Amino acid sequence: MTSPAAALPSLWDDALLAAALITIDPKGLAGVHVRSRSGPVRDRWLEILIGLVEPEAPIRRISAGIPDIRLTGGLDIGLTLDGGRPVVERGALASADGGMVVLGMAERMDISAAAVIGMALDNRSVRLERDGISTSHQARFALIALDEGIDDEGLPTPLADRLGLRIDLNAVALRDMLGTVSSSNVEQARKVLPTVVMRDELVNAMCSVSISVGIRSIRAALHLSNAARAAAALRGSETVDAEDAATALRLVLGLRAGPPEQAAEPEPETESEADRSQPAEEQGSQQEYNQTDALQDILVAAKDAVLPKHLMAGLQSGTPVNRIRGDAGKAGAVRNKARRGRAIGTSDKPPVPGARLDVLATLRQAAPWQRIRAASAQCARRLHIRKSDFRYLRFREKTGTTVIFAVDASGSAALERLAESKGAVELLLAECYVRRDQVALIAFRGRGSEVLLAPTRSLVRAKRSLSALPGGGGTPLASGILTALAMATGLTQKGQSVITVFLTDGRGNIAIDGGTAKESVAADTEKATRMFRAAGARAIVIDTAKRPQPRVETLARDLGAEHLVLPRAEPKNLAREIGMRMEN
Amino acid sequence: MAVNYPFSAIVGQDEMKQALLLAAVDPSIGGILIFGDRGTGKSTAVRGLAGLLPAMQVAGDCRYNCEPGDASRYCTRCRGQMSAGTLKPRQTRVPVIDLPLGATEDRVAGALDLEKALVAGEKAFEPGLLAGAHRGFLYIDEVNLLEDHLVDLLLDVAASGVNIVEREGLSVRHPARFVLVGSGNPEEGELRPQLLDRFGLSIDVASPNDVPSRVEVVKRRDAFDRDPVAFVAKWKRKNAELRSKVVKGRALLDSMETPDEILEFASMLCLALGVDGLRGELTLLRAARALAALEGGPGPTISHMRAVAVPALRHRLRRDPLDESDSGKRVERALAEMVAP
Repeated sequence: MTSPAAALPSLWDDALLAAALITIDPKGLAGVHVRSRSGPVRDRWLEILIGLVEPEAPIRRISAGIPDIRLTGGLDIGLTLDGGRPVVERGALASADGGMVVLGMAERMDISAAAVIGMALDNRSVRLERDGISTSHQARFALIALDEGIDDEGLPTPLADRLGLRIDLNAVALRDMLGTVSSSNVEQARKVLPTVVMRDELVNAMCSVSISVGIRSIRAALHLSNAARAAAALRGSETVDAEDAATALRLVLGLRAGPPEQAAEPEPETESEADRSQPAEEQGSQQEYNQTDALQDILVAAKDAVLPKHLMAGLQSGTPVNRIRGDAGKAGAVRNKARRGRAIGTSDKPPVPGARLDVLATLRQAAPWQRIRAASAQCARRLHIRKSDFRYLRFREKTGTTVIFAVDASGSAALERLAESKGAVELLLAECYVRRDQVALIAFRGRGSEVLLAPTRSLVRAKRSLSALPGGGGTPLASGILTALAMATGLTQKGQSVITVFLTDGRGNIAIDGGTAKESVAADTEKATRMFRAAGARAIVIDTAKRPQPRVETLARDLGAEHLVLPRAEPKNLAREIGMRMEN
Repeated sequence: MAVNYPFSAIVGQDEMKQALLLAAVDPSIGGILIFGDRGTGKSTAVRGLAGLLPAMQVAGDCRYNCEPGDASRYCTRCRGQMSAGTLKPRQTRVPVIDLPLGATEDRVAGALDLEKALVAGEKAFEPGLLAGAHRGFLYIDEVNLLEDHLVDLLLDVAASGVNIVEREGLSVRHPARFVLVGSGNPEEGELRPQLLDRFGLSIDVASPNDVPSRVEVVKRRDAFDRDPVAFVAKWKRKNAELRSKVVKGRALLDSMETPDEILEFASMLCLALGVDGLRGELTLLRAARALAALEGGPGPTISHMRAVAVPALRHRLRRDPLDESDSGKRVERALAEMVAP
């Protein structure tokens, strides 16, 4: 534990603290969002965490792709067939009752599955309404979500909003991994927790800070209060003090405010902090620790303090901190004859050769005939199932289409072109309900390119992030192509089909490094187009100039893209042309 | 059974609470859609509603919640019991049924009872969630994430009030009239417009952004978590007040007259907003009547109508992607332009 005058605890110290707090109050804090690549640091942290849990408590490891039935439980086919009567099998969540669920690669989890876990966290039980079973299992667990996401990737919102604590182990070096948490302290703290009290000013102050840094979720306020209380319990104290509040702000919101000497510390703690590390104001963190003044100072400092980069990004665009990933939700363009994906029903003929048998549906089909068949059967069997009873699973695969607009926002035409593509984005989203497709927008201008709208299906989000579109400057065409390619590749890997739409006059004049030398501009553009074509990404290049430019046609050919001339591209025309291409 | 957080102890979110109470007074308003920020107490409000609603009468131990009195609408079993003279009405809580994500169609609509079939070789129907929700509420959290085929099924049943099951050699139909309550977060995908239109009222919820309400949320939640029983006891009187308002409102509703000027106002407003279909006008009217009843007033007035116009109409406007303002604002604008007759 840190003394008030000490420097800001290291990320590893905070990680240990988070491990302690979640074992002290799993109910109030729900879980830990661990941003970390797989590696020895994460392994060590998990080991320490598991050491803190009572030995008999179950720990269940699950992966992001876990099928619904394993998550919530369902009919145990083996035992049901054996016993001749339905036997319910508990899912991973219910079998972790009283312990923990460790979710690997949480950033890849489907939003519906995440919502199922979220509801279990809220209700502390799992409601089962499937396969003819209607029951509910207790599921009082804490969720440890291991998030290996990079950049914008992150937890699906139903989880991100519910997990009380967040830690980042990516920047923890092996040599930082000192110390551990004493499990007897934690045990003691569990006993103290119910009696810990907190003064109203502290609740007040924490709520004001969370509002002032733009945290909209009310759950954050609840987590702050529970984390502060657990921190006090860990100190063995029955009263929450300002230091506990600061701990809560660090672990819940990622607000890291430190005394001035912090700035002089040689090693940057995270890349994001390195960009923004600025000395926090002198704060009254010396003696009168229980004074509200000191608290206010901490909180003021917290406001100006180092915020993790992804948090800042969230605040600036007005979206919640934990952004959703693009591929949330249900199926888009439907492939009904898929072999994998979500089960959508059964059929009496195999939909594809080698289709999977739906045991339950088969049983249901056979059930009414059991008596008759048993009477006429030659041999005594528990179940009489014939070929005509067989039912097969039909799957639907999610293969939504994402349209990436890569828009040349340079020079004079910028405003017009941006307005057109913005209109088209919104029209496409408004009309894409049934297909559930996504739209993204990249603008290139000035010295580089920028993702203005990450792939989304939500008109609300699109409107919010497109309300102020920047424009003007040079044309970093190569950079725009590469950004679009990176996004397209990422989406394709997630199983989406992607169309990239370039709106440009084809005249690049800024190289990748931001320079304007003619040779490097030409070389970079050539390189970028070649990479794009080699990746086989589908694209359309739209010429919106009043007089069609041969340059644009060349660019389209180089990109392996379709060339379209749309003088005065009205948003409606644009949306229609693209919509047509999304159909097939 | 776990104790639910009391409905009356929810801080703020007046529009949402009011909409739920209106549906409690007059279920024919249609479903309620609650969209908005996470953690705004959407689920808490719906579950809390269960503890608020007055008890209802059910014919015997009927699994379909048959209403005592009208024998022509009894299910087969109740009819049999009635002729045998064993049908005894009893009091029960109004059902508020949760439809969890991941529910399968057989449990929603009902299906062959597998246990009975396998063990006794008996072909029996196991009623699903729709039967359980009859005369009550059916709640779907994250409705925008529910599988499309389930949503279609629900809307079908909600519109017709009858659930028909034809599968596995069974042919069953039973009444299923319920208030569909759906909640979700629009950032994770919106609902199809034809779905939106099926809901009677649509509510936008946002996290409170002022310090005092947040502090109040934290303090009340904390008190509840520490001692749920004491907390519920503390709010019992407030809950009882709301309950008696609902009971009185229901009684008032039948005798309530609707002046012509109200009807005219509704049509004019819908015309001004370009809302097509009668559904908008009808909901507007029913919601205004329910509000008047809830307030114990003699009948709906223009001000009642104004009070319910936004939730009744905001999801029925034709989408104009190039209009920046959200649809609630557009309804407000239209209201402001309407001159009180």
